[in-house]
Amino acid sequence: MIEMTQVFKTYPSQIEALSDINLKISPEEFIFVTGPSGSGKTTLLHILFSLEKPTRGQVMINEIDITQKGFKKVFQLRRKIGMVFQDFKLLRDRTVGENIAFALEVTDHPKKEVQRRVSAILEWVGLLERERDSILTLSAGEQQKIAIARAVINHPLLLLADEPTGNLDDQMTSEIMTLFIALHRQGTTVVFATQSKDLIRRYHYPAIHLLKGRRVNGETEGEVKREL
Amino acid sequence: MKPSLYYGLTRTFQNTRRNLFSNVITIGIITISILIFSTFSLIAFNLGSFLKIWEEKIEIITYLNRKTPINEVESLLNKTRQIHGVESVRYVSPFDAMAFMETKLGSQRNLLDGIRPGVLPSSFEIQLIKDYRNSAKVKEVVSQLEKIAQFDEIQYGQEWVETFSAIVHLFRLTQWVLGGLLLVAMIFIISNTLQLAIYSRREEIEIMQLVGASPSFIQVPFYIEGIVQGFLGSGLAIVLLYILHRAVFLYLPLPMKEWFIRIPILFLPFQTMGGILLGGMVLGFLGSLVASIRFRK
Repeated sequence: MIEMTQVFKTYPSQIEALSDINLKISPEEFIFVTGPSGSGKTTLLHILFSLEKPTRGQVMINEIDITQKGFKKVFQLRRKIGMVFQDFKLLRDRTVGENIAFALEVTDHPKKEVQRRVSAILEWVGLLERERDSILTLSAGEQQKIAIARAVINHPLLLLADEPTGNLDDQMTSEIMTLFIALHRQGTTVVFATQSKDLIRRYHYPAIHLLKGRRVNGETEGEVKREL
Repeated sequence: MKPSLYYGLTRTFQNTRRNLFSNVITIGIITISILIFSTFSLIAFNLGSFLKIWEEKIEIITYLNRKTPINEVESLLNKTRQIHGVESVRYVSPFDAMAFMETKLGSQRNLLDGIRPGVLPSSFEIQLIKDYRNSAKVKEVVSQLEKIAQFDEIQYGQEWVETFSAIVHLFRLTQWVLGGLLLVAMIFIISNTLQLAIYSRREEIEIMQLVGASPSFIQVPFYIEGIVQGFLGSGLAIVLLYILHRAVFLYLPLPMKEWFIRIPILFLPFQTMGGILLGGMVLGFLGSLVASIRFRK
């Protein structure tokens, strides 16, 4: 499903964010991307989400080369990929329900369906009673749940998460992880970037280690070993 | 998936309601910019009309040789009408001239007692076509008239025509330069205001992009908003200008009012108002277009 071949990313300031990255992620897999700050986790996720283009190399998602010149269907790709950010990226002047509905409205869903699906997903994340509240009245963990709800409301095949538990306490981290695991069990491929060794230890999923933009620990192409 | 016009308009209305303050500020700035430009256009239009009234007065009077037989007048009239630049020619007989003088003298017409019309020369009053009502072109017509032997004297207020032509030339030059500068300033202000308005919503746009909104879904409401803001801004500017125009007459001191009765201060013609409205909408659209292109970069 996802294949990165000899991917390099160098920023104009000559900082090499990614260097010779090769990886394959099969459908319905759950993978941690880990490494210290500045190791290239966010850049890798941004490239998969087509927020950034690699300097060199090829990225295939569902047999579509998203790195090819003139790739114009970024918005269509993003309807199949959900992304959760550490800073949530929610609209602060809207309610909880409006924030989730936004993802459906911009993809042209009928009003009735929007309402039905928003209620259903809010129930799933346990925040149905907060639907009409301003997003600013929610705690950080609750806001992250809303961000997850928005990312998955379009039933994406791939969910990218960029340190979604980075700012959360243990209790909320567990709750968030429960949501990701549930999504994975429903068949969504999850790529989860985190610095937390504890998280990788606690949840037994394979991990890709990055250090200064390079893969380390010798995982081979097509096979991501579980790092415990 | 292309957004329909209805959906675009609905989203424009929602955006406007959500960003009411930013919209009011944008429309306000557009209104002020267009009001300044429209005020200049109004002043230029009225000065232009004023000059046009004076332009109408440019004419040539040729006095006929007293020995010219009356039966030659018709052929002379035709010959004069053939000259390039001549619009119309009127024959003024000595009797017409006397009647004119009597009218002009009014109560002092007794000064003409004992003077027979025969002492006054016959003349032709020559009206020129519009393009010939300036110093250079008048001279061209005069040089043709001078070739006709039956004309004793040709008058066209040479000094006055030259001064008037210089004023018209200077006015038109100022109108273009000042108008052009104002137009550039207005385009710059409106375009930057719209860009700032869109920039203030960068967070919303960024999230739209992240959740898979198509470029047209994001851009079309901004274009419609720009057009609506341009229309409302220019419409308001015209209304304010009209109020200002009326207020000038209400609060003018009486002697000035009397003066303005003779030289009417007109409001902008419908075509110009239409042009300003259309211009506002085009500027609104272009401002949003440039902003969205810059935003995408």
